Amino acid sequence: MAQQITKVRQPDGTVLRLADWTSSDPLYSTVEVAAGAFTVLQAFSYGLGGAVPGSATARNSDRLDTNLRGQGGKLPEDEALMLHGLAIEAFTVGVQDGGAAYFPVDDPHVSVLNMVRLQRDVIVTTRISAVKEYTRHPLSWFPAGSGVTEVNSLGLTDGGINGFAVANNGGDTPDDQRNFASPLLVQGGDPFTVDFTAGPGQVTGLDFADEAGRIALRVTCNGPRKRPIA
Amino acid sequence: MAIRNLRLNNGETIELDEWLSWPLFSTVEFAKASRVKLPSFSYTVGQPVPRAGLAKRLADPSDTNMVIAKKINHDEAFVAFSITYEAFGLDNDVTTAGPTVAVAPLISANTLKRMQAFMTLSFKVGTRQSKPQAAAPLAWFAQGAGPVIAASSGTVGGGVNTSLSVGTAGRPSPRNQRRFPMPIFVQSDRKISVDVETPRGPIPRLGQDVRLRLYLDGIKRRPVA
Repeated sequence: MAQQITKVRQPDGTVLRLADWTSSDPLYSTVEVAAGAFTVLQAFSYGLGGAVPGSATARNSDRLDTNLRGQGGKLPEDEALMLHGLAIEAFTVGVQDGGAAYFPVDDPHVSVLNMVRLQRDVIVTTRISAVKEYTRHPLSWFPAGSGVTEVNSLGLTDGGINGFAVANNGGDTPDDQRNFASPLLVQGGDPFTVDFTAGPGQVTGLDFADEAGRIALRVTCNGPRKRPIA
Repeated sequence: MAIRNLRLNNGETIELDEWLSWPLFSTVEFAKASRVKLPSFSYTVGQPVPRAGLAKRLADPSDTNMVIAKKINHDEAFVAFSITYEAFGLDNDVTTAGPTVAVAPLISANTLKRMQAFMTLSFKVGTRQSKPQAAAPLAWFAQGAGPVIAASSGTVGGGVNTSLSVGTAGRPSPRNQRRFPMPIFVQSDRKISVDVETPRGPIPRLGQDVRLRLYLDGIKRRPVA
């Protein structure tokens, strides 16, 4: 039976363990922000299948939410991560801006008002080994680097009466992503989370049509990741 | 965990300090009819945010990540590559004809243009230094963080508020930041400030009270363990 070579024993007895480094399978995780107060929402605190922090029904995650293996809260023992930057996307879950009706938009778009409220109030803290902080900066500092370059015509909503205004978390191309001036190394087994908090205790003014409304923030780790080869 | 050493091809190992990407940020706020002369990076969380023409407010973690007021901590150092900023409206911009054109926290294009025309930034390092390390009108410093916005035509706000105007200083992107040709090194325990000023007095016809969050983009040195 064919078998993957996972290690090579050298003549001097040392063993080289082969690994697969890739930038094409980035690690990502999602949290959901509701209107009202919250303490902290931790991305990478759960593995695939675990509950998404902040979600209305504590729903179990699927592959759109995360690809982290294991229980979460740490990198799997057989992986490693060179973290060159964080890219954070935003999507509306449910219907937003129903009450104010200022800039009604269709989900999963995010209205310009909600986006700027998030950028103003949300702080992103990266923790590695649970000892030190490696970022403590506003959401806007970590552009999505993905999204839609939009061309819109007159009066798209409400039967052609109203227009709308949507916004992205920064630029929508890979060239818009922000790289750290020096990369960070996360070793296999290291505790690792990206924490979302709100400076004022909540995202002030965040607006949804109903209580189930959320903004999903999906954070993706830019940089090569070591995975087991078999 | 940060990268702490590099092993070269010849077997030599170079030990690294823990220098990490750690931009500093700090916020100031001013009312539309106020002359502005505010020192950013002069406070920590829990201390008053520098404000002109507005009631006292204490800083929360979205205002600053300074760990000590007015200077770089004694066990840290900092290298600045760039200055950039974000602006947020503290109230709405309403035109003389009535319609609201920018709902807080949005900044209207008019508000930003007037700030660019009448506001200066001066980055100073050292005690009682009058010579800035970097200084220019606000327009010189492009915006590296913020929303990229798309809007359709048509009315907004159910036809009551008939216009929308939002401005950013260039297309917000790290690539849009103007970088210093030579980085600015700030030694441990050295005082820093980015002074926000309107030399001619209140900004003419400014339509909004403004929150201005300034970033010193760069790397800092901190204890490895």
